[in-house]
Amino acid sequence: MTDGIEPGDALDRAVDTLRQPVPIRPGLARRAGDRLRRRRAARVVRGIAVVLLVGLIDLVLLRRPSGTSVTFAITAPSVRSIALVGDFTDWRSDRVQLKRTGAGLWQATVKLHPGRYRFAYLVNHDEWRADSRAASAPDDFGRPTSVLTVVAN
Amino acid sequence: MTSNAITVRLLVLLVLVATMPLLAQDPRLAQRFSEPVAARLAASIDSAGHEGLPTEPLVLRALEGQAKGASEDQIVAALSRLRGALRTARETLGPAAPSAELTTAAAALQAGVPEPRLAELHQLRGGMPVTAPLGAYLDLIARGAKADRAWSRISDLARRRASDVEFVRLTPADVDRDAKPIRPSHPPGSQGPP
Repeated sequence: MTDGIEPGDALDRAVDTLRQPVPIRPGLARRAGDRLRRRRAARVVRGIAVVLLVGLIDLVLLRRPSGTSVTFAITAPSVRSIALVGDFTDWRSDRVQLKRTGAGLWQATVKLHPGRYRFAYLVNHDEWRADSRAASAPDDFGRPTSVLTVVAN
Repeated sequence: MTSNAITVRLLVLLVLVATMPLLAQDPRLAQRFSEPVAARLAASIDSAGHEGLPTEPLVLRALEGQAKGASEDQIVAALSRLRGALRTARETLGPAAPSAELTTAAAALQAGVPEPRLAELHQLRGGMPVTAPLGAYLDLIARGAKADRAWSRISDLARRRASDVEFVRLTPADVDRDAKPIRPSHPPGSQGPP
């Protein structure tokens, strides 16, 4: 090597030079921080855009109408409770309770999508009754059952 | 995130959503039945699903049976009958028929509507769902209308491409009124106006 500098010394000097603290201008640090924040914001915006896109696909391809309001009513003057039970409640008696509206009339309104639904009223938690205004349906289980066809408005 | 990464994530999401019903047993069965009964019913319903039949009407029929206090055997037998009717309905209406249409068609078959009549209605509707006309027909019969008269009225409406609302507004009185012979304005045998 020339100039009397050993290769090891040159390397040490280079390493020392690189290890020296580099003064950063305040403006530069602020711009770097801003750039980092902008990148994070852009990532969040892209994430929201993906969620919105999936929602849009769901809305356009799998769009369903909001449902038609159907009022169920039964006259039962001397009962304590009436539940509306059917395909639209997964045959659970705790989803739709009819309310007494006077003169022994009980009513409930539910929103249903177009289709054909089997249903019945469960009176006082133990007595099944069909809807006298609706068509009756054949029943595999020996209980009164009604059926209703809902069409889109 | 590159556009490729977004596309891949969307595809994965769509595949997951599409296959979700095939991956898990319907939780409603586990909530309402004991474990062995739920497993037996789920096996029957899954098997129908593998045939391409809609499973929701079968799940609902099982839940209906449970709500009405039916025995396990009664529920299994009911599912078997409904599955057979759904299968026939799909053969008649085609594989593209939506679940609601198949369910109504299956109900019609179980109520005694002959398969050729279902096929005839499907043809008359020309691609429109048979849910409303078939539902209206079943309702008319259940309310006491004569089957042939009700069918004649429903067929006429279907031929005229009537709206769904027109079908469901039909009453037995409408059917009877339409079936009454029109009284001639002149005595039979005489010459009418030119």
